[in-house]
Amino acid sequence: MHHYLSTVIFGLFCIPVFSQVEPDIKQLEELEVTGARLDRYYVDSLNVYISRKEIEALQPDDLGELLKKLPGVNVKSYGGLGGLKTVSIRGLGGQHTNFVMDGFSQSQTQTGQVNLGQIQLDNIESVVVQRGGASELNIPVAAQLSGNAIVLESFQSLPPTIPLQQKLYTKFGSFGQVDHHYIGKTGGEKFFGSLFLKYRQAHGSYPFRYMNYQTEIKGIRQNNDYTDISGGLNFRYQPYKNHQLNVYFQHLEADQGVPGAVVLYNDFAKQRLTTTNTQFKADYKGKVKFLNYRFHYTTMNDSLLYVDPAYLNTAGELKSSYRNRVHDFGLTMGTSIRDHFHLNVGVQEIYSKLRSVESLTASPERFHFLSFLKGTYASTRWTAIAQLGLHHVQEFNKNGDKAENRSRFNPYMELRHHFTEKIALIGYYRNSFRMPNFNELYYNNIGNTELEPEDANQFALTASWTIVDRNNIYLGMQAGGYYHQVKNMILTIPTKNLFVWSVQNVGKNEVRGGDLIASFSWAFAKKWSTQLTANYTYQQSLDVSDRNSPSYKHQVAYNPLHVINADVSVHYRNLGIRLSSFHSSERYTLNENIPANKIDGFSTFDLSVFNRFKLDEHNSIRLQITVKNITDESYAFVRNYIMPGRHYLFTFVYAFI
Amino acid sequence: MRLYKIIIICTGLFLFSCKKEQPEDPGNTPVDQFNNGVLVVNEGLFQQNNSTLSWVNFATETVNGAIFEQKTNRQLGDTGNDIARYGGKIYVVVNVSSTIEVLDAKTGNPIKQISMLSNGIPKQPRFIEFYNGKAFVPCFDGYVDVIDTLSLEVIQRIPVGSNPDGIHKVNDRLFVANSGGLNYPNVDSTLSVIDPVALTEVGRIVVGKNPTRIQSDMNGDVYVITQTGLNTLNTQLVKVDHQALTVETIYPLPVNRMERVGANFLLYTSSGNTSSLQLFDPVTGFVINPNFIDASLFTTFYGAQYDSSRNQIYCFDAMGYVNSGYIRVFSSNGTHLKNIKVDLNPSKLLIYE
Repeated sequence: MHHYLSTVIFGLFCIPVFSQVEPDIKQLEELEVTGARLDRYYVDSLNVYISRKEIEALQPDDLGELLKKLPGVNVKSYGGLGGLKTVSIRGLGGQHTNFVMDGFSQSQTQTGQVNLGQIQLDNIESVVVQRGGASELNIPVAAQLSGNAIVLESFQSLPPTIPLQQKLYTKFGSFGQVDHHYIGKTGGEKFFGSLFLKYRQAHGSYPFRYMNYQTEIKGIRQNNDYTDISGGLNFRYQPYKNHQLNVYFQHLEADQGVPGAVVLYNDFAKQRLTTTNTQFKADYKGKVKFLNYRFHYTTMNDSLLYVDPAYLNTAGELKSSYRNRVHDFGLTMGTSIRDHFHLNVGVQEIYSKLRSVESLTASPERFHFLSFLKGTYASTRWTAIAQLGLHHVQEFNKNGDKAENRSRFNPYMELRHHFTEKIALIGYYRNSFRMPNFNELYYNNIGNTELEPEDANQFALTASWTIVDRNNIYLGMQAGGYYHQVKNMILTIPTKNLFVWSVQNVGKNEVRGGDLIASFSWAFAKKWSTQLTANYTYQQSLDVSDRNSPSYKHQVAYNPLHVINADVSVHYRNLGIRLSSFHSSERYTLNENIPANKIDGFSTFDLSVFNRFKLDEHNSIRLQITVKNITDESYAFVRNYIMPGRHYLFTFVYAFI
Repeated sequence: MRLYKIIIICTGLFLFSCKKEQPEDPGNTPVDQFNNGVLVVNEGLFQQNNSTLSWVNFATETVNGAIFEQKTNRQLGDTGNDIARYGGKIYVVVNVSSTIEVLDAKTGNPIKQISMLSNGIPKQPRFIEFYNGKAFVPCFDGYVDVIDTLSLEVIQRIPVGSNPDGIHKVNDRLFVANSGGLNYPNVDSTLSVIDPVALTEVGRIVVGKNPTRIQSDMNGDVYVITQTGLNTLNTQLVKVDHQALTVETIYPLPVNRMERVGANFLLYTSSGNTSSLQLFDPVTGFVINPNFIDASLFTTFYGAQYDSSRNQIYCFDAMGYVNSGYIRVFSSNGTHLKNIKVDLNPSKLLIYE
C-alpha cells in the first residue's frame, strides 16, 4: 500500500517534492542512471510536473490540452485536432518558452513557436514545466537561458526493463477521430533500440453553438479535418559505465484543413496546410574523472505548404511554401568542486535558415551562439545559484536588408532555503530575451528588419509545504508569486489600414501573479483511495506601453485574471474514475478592456472511467472512456474559434512491459 | 482541523469558478427614427465579427453602438467597409462576411440581407455606388456586381480588373480602381470605366500601381491614389481627364486618404514619421493650406467626410486600429470642435439633417 500511495503522490501533477540534500549532486548523478529517471522521482520545487499516470487519466489530445491544466500556463487554442495551440507561461509570450524532448530543443525559427497541437502524448512519460534554473546536462543551453522551458521525456528514450517492451494504443472518438500508436523497444543495458509508428485522423466537423446577439446559432465546423502519420527509431549504446550514445530519427507528415474563425454569414473555408518535419538527433554523454559532459547534435527540416484554392488573385489560388532547416550542436559539462560547490558550463550553436519562393524575397540565415556559466552552492538547508548566459546572434540575408547582429548577457540568480524537511522557500531572478523570428523580420511587406529583441525580467518567490505525509494520507501545497516585465514586445499591427500590417516593437507589459497548488490523496479503505488536486492562478498582466493609450494598465488580451483547475479521482484497485475541471475567468480580445472586447469566462468538465486488466506479470490491457466537456459548454479560447461541445473518446491500450 | 480548513478553501475556489458570467447590458437607448445625427459604420477587426453601426444623436449628444443589433436582433458581421443611402434605403457593405445589409433609411429597420457569395465563395464586396436605380458594388473577386434597388437582387456581374476597390460616379460613368492587391507584387494599375446603363466596362486607364481610392473635382476630373513604384508603399495622387480618359497630372504627394470638402480636397499625407492634413485645390493643383487640420490630434487618421448641411468635417481616428475609435469634428476652416467616441475603426458615415 505504501508503494502505491507513493506512486500516487508522485504522480499527482504540480506537487513539489523537495530534495532533502544537495539537489545538484543528485541532478549530476542523474546522468549516470540508465534506468527510468522517474523511478527516482526528483523535482525541485520551482517546477511543476505531470506524470504518465496523469496523462493517461486525462487523455489529452495533445500537449496543449495537457499544459492548460498547469498553474501559470495560458494556452491559446484555435481548436480542432492538430489545430494551432500556443503557450504562455506566467505572462511571457510563447516564444520565451523552449521545448525540450529527450534532451533536444525543438527549434523553430520561422515562427519561433512549436505547435503544441502536433505534440502527442501517448509516448510521453513525463512533462516538467521548468521555471527556474536547471543543472541537468540533459537540458541544452538554449533551454537553460530561455524564459521558461518545458521538458518532455519519451517512453522510447528510456531503456527497456525487460528484453522486449511494447505498447499499442488505439483510440476512437467523436468527429471521426481514429488514432493508432505502436511503440516497441528491445535490448538491454548495453544496447537497446526502439521504434514508434503513429497514425491519427479526424474529420473534425463538430457541431457548435454561438450567440449572434441574442440568438443562439448552431453550426458545423467546416474544413477542420486532420491526418498525420509519424514514425521514428531510437538507439542507445552504452560502451561502458557512465558513457552512452543516443541516436534518434523521426519523421512526421500532417495534412489538415484550416477552418479559420467562425465568420458570421460566411462559412466558406477551403484552405489547407501540409507540414512535414524530419529530425535526426544524437548525443553522447560521458564522464572523465570528476567531469560529466554531454555533446548533442540535431538537424531538423521543417516544410510547410499553405494552399488557398479560392484566393481572389488572378491565378485563383494562393500557394505559400516554406522550408526551415536547423542544425544545432552543443556541449554541456558539470562537475563538483569539493562537497558543496558545483560548476556547470555549456555552449551551443544553432544555425537556421528559411526559404520561401512565394512569400519571402529574403533568404535569411542565422547563427545563434549561446553559452553559460553556472555556479551552485548547496548545503543541507541552503542552495544558491548564480548563472551568466551569453548570446551572440549573427544574421545573414543574401537578398535585401538583414537584422542587426545581437549580443546579450543574461544573468540568473536563485536562492533556496529549506526551513525543515517539509517547508522550503525559493526565490529567483531571471533576465532573458527572445529574438524576432524569421517571419517577423523578413516576411514580405509585413516583416521589419529593424526589430529589437523582446526582453524579459522575472522575479519569483515560491514556498512549498508538505503538510501531511503519513502512510495513508498526503497533503502538500505550493504557493508562488511573481513579477515580470516584458519590454520591446513584438506585435504585428495594422499600420496603414486594416489590410496593411507590420511587425513593430510597441509593447511593454507588467505581470503580477500568484499561483496556489494543493494536492491531497487519501487511502481511506483497503484497496480504495482518492485524490484531489487543485491549482489556482491569479495573473494581472497589464499593458504599460503608452500612458496616453486607452488600454494603459488594462489587462492584456487573452490573459484571464483567474484560472482554476480542480480534479478529483477515486480508485478501487485498478479501476478509477476521474472528474477533471478547468475554469477560466473572462478575457478580452484586445488590450482595451471594454465590454465589446470581452469574451465570457467558461468552465469545462471532463469525466473518465478507466480500468487496467492485468493479464499476467507483463501483459495488461487498459480501457478508458472519457467524456469531454460533459456540460456541453460553448466556449472559445480565441474569439470565434469555438471549441467542441460534449464529445467522447474510447481508449484501448495493450501493454507488454 | 488545519486539513479541514484547507479542504474548505479548495472547495470554495472550485465553486467560485463555476459561477456563470452574465452578459452586460449595452445600455444603448433604442432609436425609432434617425434624425439630426450621423450613422457610422465601424469596421471592427478581421475575423472578430465585431463590425458595428453607431448612431450619434447630435440633439442628445448620445451614441448608440448597438443600433444594428437592436433593429435586426443580430450582429452586423465581419469588417463593414461602406455605408450609403439611396432613396429610402441604407446599404451597408460588409466585406469579410460578404453581405450587404439593406435597412430602412428612416427607421433602420431591416429590409434584406443580400448574400454576396458566388458558388459559396465570398466575393468580398468593398464599396457601393448608385446610378439610375441600380447599385454597383466592386467585389474583390474581379467583378462589379449590379444590384437592382427594387428587387434587391444581383442582376449582373461586370468583369473588371483584379481586386476592384474604390468606385466613384462622374456624370454618366463609373470609375473603378483595380487594386490587384492580392496579386502582390504583380498588382494591377488600372481604372475601369463602366457604362452604368449598358452595364459594361467601356475602357481601362493605366494610372499607376495599386490604385485604391477615387475622388472627383468640380469639373468632373478624376483623382486616384496609387503607389509610386513596385516595391514601395509610397503613394502619389494621379489626376485623370474624365473626357479624354488619360492621365493628366501626377502630384508627388504621399497621399493616403482624400476627401472632398466643398470645391477642395482634404488630403492626408504621410511620409516616414511626418503626416499632415492639407487642403488641396484640385483645379489649380496647389496646396492651399499644408496644415489645414492639426494632424497631431490623431493617433491614426482613418478618413474624413464633409457635412455640407452643417459645414463641418468629420474625421475618423482609428486609434491604432485596436482601440475604440473617435470621430473628431472640425469646422469648415479646420478648427477642432469636439470628439465623439464610437467603436473599433470607424470609416464611413451617413449624415442625417
